[in-house]
Amino acid sequence: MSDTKIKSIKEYVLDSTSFFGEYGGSFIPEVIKPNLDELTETFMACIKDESFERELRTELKQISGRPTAFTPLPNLTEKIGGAQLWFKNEGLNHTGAHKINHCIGQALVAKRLGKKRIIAETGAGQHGLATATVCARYQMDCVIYMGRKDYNRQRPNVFWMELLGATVIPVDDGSQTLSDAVIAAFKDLISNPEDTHYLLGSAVGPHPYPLMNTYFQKIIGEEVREQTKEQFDRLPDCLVACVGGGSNALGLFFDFLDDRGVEMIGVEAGGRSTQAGDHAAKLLQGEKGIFEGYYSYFLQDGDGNISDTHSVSAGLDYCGVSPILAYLKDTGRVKFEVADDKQALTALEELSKAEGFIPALESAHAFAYAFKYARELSKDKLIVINSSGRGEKDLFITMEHFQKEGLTKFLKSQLNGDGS
Amino acid sequence: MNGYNNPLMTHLIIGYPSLEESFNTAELYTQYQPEFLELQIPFSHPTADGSKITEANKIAIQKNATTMDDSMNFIERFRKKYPDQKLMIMTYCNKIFRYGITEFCRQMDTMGIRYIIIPDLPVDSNIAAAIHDNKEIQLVPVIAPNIPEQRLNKILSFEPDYIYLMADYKITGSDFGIHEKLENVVGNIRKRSDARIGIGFGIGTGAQVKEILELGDFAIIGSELINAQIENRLEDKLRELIA
Ligand SMILES: Cc1ncc(COP(=O)(O)O)c(C=O)c1O
Repeated sequence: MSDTKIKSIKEYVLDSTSFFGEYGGSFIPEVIKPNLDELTETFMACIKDESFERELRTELKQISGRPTAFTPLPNLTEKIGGAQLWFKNEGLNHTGAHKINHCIGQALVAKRLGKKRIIAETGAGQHGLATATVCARYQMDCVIYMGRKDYNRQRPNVFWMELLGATVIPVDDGSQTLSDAVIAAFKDLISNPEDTHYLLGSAVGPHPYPLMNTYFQKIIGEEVREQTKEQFDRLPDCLVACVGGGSNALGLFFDFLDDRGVEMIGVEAGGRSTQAGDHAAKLLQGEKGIFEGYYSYFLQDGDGNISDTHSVSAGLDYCGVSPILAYLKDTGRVKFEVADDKQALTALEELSKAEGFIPALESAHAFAYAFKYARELSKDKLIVINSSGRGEKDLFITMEHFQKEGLTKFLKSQLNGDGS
Repeated sequence: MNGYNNPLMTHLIIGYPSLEESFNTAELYTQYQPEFLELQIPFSHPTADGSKITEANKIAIQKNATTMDDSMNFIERFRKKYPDQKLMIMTYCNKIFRYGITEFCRQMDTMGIRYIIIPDLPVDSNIAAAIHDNKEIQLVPVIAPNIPEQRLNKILSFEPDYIYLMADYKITGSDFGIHEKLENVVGNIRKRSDARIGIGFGIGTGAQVKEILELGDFAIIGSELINAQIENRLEDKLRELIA
C-alpha cells in the first residue's frame, strides 16, 4: 500500500472513522458497543470544543507540569561521535511517565460522559498509577487489572495505586501480563457497560482508543517541534521511541508525520531471544490478526492462538501493537528496529553514568537503538529520543540485574527488622 | 423423546478435557436431544468467556494442543455420525481469520453447518461481510439487554434465523440473573422478526431454564455443564435441565 495519494497523513489519521489503511476497526461484543459508541461521539465532540481543549491544556500544565524538558546528551554525543543526541524527558511528568497525558484526557472525557467508575489495565504499572492518580484527583472509583507476573515485578507501583485509593486486581489467566490484564478489563466492561469507562492505556484496542490516545499523546511531538525550533531553528532529523502498544511513539511521531524529511524509528522489545515467546517484537515478527478489538500485527502461532511474550520491561511485554503504527509501517513512514533485554540494560547504565538520567526500562530500548544509530549519522544530524518514563519504578528489576547481592541483603535486613 | 426438540443449546469445548472425551460428551448431549449443540473451537484467549470456559480453552490449547484441523475433523466426524443434530459452531474472530475465512466457510458449508457464533465479530463488520459472502452461512448475533433500538434494527436487517441473547450483562459462568430490560428486548425482536431466541449466560438449573423459557425459545447452557462434568454428575444435570 502506498500513501502517495494521501496529502496529509495527520489529517488522514484524525479523520478516521475506525480504520487506518486496513488496520484498526472495532471487533467487539455487541454488549459494549453502546459504551464505545457513546465514548467515540463524546470524544469527537470534546476535541471540537475549545473549552475542552483549554481545560485539557490547563490540567496538563497544572497537574503534570507540562511542558516537559528537552535535554541534550553532550557526554554521550561526544563519546559516540556521531549525530547529536537530545531527549524528550516524559519521565518528568507527574507519576513518572507519558501515560498521564492520555489519562488526564480520557478522565476529562469520562467526566463529560458522567461516568463515576474507571477501570484500566496496566503492565509496568505506569498507566495504572496515572489512572489511579487522575481518579483520585477527579474523585472517581478506580479498579486496575494487572497480570500476576507484573503485579509481582512492579510491586512499588501496586502499593502506590492502592495508596491513591484504587483497587488493584491481579489477573491469573494466560501469561499473567499486559494482554491478560486488557482481557480482564474488557470482561469487567462487558459486565458493567453502563456506568463504567474503560481507560485503556495505549494506542491499541477498538475504535476510538487508538485515535483517542494518539490525540492525547501528540502533545509530546508538538512540544518537541517548538523546542527544536527554539534551540536549533529547524526540525529534528530522526525521532526514536520504544514501542509497547505505541502510545509514546505515536505521541512523539504524530506531529511530524507530514514532515517527510523527519525519519521515525520505533524500537520493539527483543527480549532474550528471537524465539517465539522470548520477545515482544510484533511489527517485526508478528502476523496480521484480530484480537482485543482491533486488526493489527500480533504475535501468534499458525493456528491463530496468541503467543506469550517476554521483555525485561513490563510495559513492552505485550502481544499486539497500535493499528496506526501497523499502517505507518506498511506505508514505510515509520521504520521499526529492535533492542533486546541486555542492550536496554546496558543503555540504561550508560545513560545513568554518562548523563545522570535513569530512564524507565521501556525507554531504555529507545536509547539503546539511538546510541547505535547515532554512530551511522554525521555530526550535523539531530536525533531526538523519547524518554517515555523515568526508572524508579523498576528499582527491583534493575537492582536485581546490577546488584543482586545488595538487593538480597537489603530485603533480608528489612525482613529481620535490623534495617533501621 | 425424539426430533431434537428439547429447548436447549448445550455447549462444549472441543479438546476439553481431551479431544476424545469431548467427542463422547457431544454424543452424550445428543442423546438428550437438544435443539442445538454448540461446539466451541478452542482459542488461547477467549476474551468474552468466564473463568471456567477460559480454563477449559487453556487445557484444550496448551495441554492437548488441539488444532484448528482437529476441530474441523471433530465437527466433520460428529456431523457424519449424527446428521440430524443441529449444530452451532462458536469461536473467536482470530481463529477463523488465520484459518482463512473463505476456506472456513467453504468447509462449514460442505458439512452442512449453517450457524456460526463469533462474539467479537459485529455482524455488520467487513470481516462478517466476508462470511456472509457464503449465502448458506449465517452469523448468529450475540446481543445483550442494553442493545439500542436502532442497533437492533440494523442487526435484524440481516434476517437472522437465530439470536443469542445474554440474560444480563455478564461473561459466561457468572451467577444467574435476568436483566430488567430483557423482556423488553425479547418483545422488540418478536415484533420485527421470526428469529428464534436462545438465551444464555449464567443458566445452570432446571428452574432457571423454566424461567428463561418464559421469554426465550431455548436456553443455552455452558459453564454449568463443565462444573457438572468435573463433579461427575453430567447426566443428572442433563436430566434436570430437560425435566
Ligand atoms: C515508561 C513507559 N514507556 C513505554 C511504555 C509502553 O507503552 P506505549 O508503547 O503505549 O508507549 C510503557 C507502558 O507501560 C511505559 O510505562
